[in-house]
Amino acid sequence: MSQLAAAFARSPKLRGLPAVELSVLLFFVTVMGLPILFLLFGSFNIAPPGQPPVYGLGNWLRAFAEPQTLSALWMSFAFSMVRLVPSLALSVTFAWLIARTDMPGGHALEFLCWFAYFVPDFPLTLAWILLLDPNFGFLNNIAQVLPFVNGPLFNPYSFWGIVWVHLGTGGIWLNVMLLTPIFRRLGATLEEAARVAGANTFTALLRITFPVLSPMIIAIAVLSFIKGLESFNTELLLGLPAGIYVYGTRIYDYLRQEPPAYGEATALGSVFLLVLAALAVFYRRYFQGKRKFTVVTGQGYSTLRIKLGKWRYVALGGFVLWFAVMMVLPLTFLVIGSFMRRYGFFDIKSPFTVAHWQALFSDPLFLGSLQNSLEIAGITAFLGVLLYSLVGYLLASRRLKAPALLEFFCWLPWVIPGILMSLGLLWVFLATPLRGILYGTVWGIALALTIHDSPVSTQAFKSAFLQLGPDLEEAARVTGASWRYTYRRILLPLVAPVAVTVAMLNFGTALTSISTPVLLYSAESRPLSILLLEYSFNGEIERAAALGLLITAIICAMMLVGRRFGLQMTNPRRQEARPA
Amino acid sequence: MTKLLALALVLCASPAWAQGPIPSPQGSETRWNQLVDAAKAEGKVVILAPPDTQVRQALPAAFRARFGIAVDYLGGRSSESAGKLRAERQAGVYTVDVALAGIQTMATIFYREKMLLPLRPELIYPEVVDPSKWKNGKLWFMDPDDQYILRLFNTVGANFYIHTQFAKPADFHMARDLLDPKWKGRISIHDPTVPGNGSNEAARFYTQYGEDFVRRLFVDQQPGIARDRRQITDWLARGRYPISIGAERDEVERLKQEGLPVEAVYNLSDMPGTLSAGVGEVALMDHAPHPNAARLFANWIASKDGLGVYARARTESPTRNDIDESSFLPPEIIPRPGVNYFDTFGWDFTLSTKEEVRLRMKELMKR
Repeated sequence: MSQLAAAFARSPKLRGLPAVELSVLLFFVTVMGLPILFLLFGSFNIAPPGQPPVYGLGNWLRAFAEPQTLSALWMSFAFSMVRLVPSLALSVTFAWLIARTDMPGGHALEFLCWFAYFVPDFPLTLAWILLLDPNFGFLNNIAQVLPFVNGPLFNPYSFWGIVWVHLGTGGIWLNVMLLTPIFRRLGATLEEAARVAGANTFTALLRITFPVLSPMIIAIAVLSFIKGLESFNTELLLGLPAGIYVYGTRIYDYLRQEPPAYGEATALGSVFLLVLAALAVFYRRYFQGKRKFTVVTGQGYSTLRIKLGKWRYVALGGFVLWFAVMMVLPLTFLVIGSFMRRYGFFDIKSPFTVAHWQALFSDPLFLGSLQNSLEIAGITAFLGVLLYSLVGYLLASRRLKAPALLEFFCWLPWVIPGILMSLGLLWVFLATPLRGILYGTVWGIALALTIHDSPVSTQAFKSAFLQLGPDLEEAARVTGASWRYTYRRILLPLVAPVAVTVAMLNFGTALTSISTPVLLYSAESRPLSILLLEYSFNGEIERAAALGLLITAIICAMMLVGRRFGLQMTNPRRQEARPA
Repeated sequence: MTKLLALALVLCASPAWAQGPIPSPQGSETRWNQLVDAAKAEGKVVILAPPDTQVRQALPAAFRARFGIAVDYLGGRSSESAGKLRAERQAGVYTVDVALAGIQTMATIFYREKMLLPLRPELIYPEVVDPSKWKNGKLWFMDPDDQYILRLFNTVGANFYIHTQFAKPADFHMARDLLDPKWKGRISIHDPTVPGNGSNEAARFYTQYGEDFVRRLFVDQQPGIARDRRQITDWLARGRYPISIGAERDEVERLKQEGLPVEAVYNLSDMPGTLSAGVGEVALMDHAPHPNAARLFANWIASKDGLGVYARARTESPTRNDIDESSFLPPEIIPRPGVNYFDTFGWDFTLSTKEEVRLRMKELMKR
């Protein structure tokens, strides 16, 4: 580690870096760069497991020589692109409606998006199967009564079926969560000026609002695209019966081999690194030298909302309809499923029971795992805000010497499949003198989860800081405030809503993440998500559904507290009352 | 339900074991008592075991009730556990004492990577080392060295399962009946191109009936393919695919208990059924952090009491002959003498045949 620091210090390009930037870079190199270096290095080891290492290209050649690899990669690109367009359009629209218009119930709808994001995917996908299966799907059966329907109307085991299920599980809800605070911070001055100049709401939206918010919108597009490329769980359930293979499935296959073929999996995973590098170049070029995203300055700030008139109820209706179809419908099956003797089997004798909930609460590991999970999630939320607010500030400040490097590191945890990243971190934890503190403890898991949350947390903070005008800092400095004081008393309060969002997101992700803690937990630090994995692996879907719902309920409770806290800091009414 | 009942029985019975002395002949009793004392001083044992909630609750409770020693139960996928153990060992960290796992993990990871300690010399409990207590007339070590991996289960597996509204047991007399065109698109299988149940079944069919049979069954019959055990069982239960080669026995048992019309097909004239050990192999990890507790646990799990608990929790047939398995197992899954079963847990079959056939299946199925 000290050699690494010395190498950085000797480098002429990095010698002048401020201490903060150097510290952050060193931290990221250690916790994000090293695991990936370990993995890449290990991928060239072609010796059988347990034998002395022999280096060569065998793993890479084997991984890419399979004829199905390219077709799977193409399929992943197709899925990712097709999902991206409606997902982004809908999430931007929903966030705009919630934060920038007078659509009734905006806060409640935002809360529902948070809730929806944390509903567990796996049982939700099973619920979609119950709804859409060509043979026994609930909706297909209902459709049969229609006069013009002669066969199954829906089929989840298809390309479009998979796209549909993905639209309901995760992606859109996360995007709305991330975009809403950014939209909320948008001052109305620009939109008002546009309207004074004769632009209607739609034109102002396209020509003013979206371009000003483009850092976050593009960041979210990149996040969604990469997550789409990596996705494989839903595709395993719905794609396999239809012969649809995606790239993530091929990586998963190598990881599940006995012994696991980490070399081949890393080789395939490196494609994501290339995609990331390409996207990073595009992203930086797009924003290079431009400072057109400032919406909060020291010269007057208003967040007056756009009045939609009678369309406000149409907007509300559209949102509610989408939520009802994409979330309430499958969620109803999920909740009912947790009370069924066998998930989705209504025609067996005495189909309903509370036995799965009883079994969950009487599991001897439940209470200990709950305590571990809450500790891990709390630490992750705190660390996430602390670290990424600083990183976001540094990236937005445009005073860095190596911004591209820092930006690249921030994205890394999402371009390496979770289990591989976890393995890399395991190696790093075991190799450091802090092994006793980090390995097999809640602290180590929390640190790993904090690292995993880097892309979304950094981009959220960076976008928020980009919205703040430089005059705020300058004014503070002129009046004698130190940087630390300015950061703590002026900048952080202004990005508090985003901080609350990041904290809650990290808290929720820490409670639900499986792939990150799976290699890092011990009997003393086992979290609830590992219990969930065990239930699912054991075929106990009902108990897994019950636990999934319980975790969602815990996150909801935290969200209520967090939102109250966050909204108090960004209460639009309070801000509207401020003199310009 | 059977497992829950078994678990309740186990837990109810535990206090009685705690009170009873361990029968042991003169001479070995001192050694045994020293081992128990040393294990108690270590305080706990860490076992790597299947992610099965019944086992995870039954084994630690019973062992603690018997010896007052805690069990840290690490359940997880073997592929993940292997990666974790390998990384730990490279860093000189050793966290696991005993492994309970399937033969694939034991043979291709733990044994091959020399992570194991010879178990045979560590077995000292009289009823464990007594050959007359074992069905084979000896302790059944699986490895070529005959000392590392002890087989604890030997259960008959069904050839396949059927939904009796759509397929009758009488429809099947020989393996070839599965190739009848009327079953085209009506059979589900676990994906044979990835290690696990699917590739095991494919390897078994390949070995017994040849490539042409496998091609016709796995390709021409256009089976439904899945990897999730619950998805395959639900397909069977709903009759979407009324013949299931990939379903798992405990899942199908649950369906039967719910009154669904599913049946196992065990014996055909040219297909006598398979033998498997499931996750019923035990081995000692080397450099165990709690070496005495590890030895004690290994002795206990191979004893009548320990194996009884494990077999009940897993509903598997134990390799010991002094456990009343008929009280908790259906007769079909208990091996009968004189029947020529196909053992899917054979050493060579595991180490070479399964992987060769899996790779061949990828070519045949173009996946």
